[in-house]
Amino acid sequence: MSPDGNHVYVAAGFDDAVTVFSRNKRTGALTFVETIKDGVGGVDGLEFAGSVVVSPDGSRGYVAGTDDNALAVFQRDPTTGVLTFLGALKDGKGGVDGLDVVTAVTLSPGGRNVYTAASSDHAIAVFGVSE
Amino acid sequence: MLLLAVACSQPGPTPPLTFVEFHQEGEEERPYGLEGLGLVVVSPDGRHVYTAAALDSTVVWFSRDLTTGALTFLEAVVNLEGFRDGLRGFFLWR
Repeated sequence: MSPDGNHVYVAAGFDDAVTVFSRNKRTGALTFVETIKDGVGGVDGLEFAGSVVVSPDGSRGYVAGTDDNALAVFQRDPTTGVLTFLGALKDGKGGVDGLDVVTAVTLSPGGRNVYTAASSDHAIAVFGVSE
Repeated sequence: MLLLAVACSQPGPTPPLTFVEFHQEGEEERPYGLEGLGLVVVSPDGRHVYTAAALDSTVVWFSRDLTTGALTFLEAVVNLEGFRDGLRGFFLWR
């Protein structure tokens, strides 16, 4: 869920996707906004998406792509909740390691670091967030 | 323990993230209890990171450097028959 409670994000492994809902704060009801799929519109790193988090300031979303061995990063529109793909880091590329079968992603309280857990690498990886 | 610190470049769009390090179960003594990692959480004060590993039936925790975000392995609680029970099929609450 976004920090302001206005949107809910679902990582859907079988669809290789993340689906965005807007949320009625009073009733809790969800309304479909969009689905972002791996391989569509240049999006990568969402194969068997296993976990999604939104940064504390609501500006970004991070997705663990379990079968892509990837951490995908999105810009988030704070008004609409819509996500725009910024890129993905993948295990074994560019010096990145510890993402083989990454299943979980979380953020430090201030949002300056991203942490992932990978079940095949038996590893926890640390990332620094840049502007 | 394997520990890497590198700046990364990837093909395609470059996300605004820098790989800092990773801690992996290895042949050395520490860290241990990381086989089959499934979840990771950061404490609200940001000083510790906790993870749970299904294959090892463990909860593992690290101290966290508040400046760099880097982790230092502290301890793993292991599910041992007859000694400590209740960690098989765990679910670590966020």
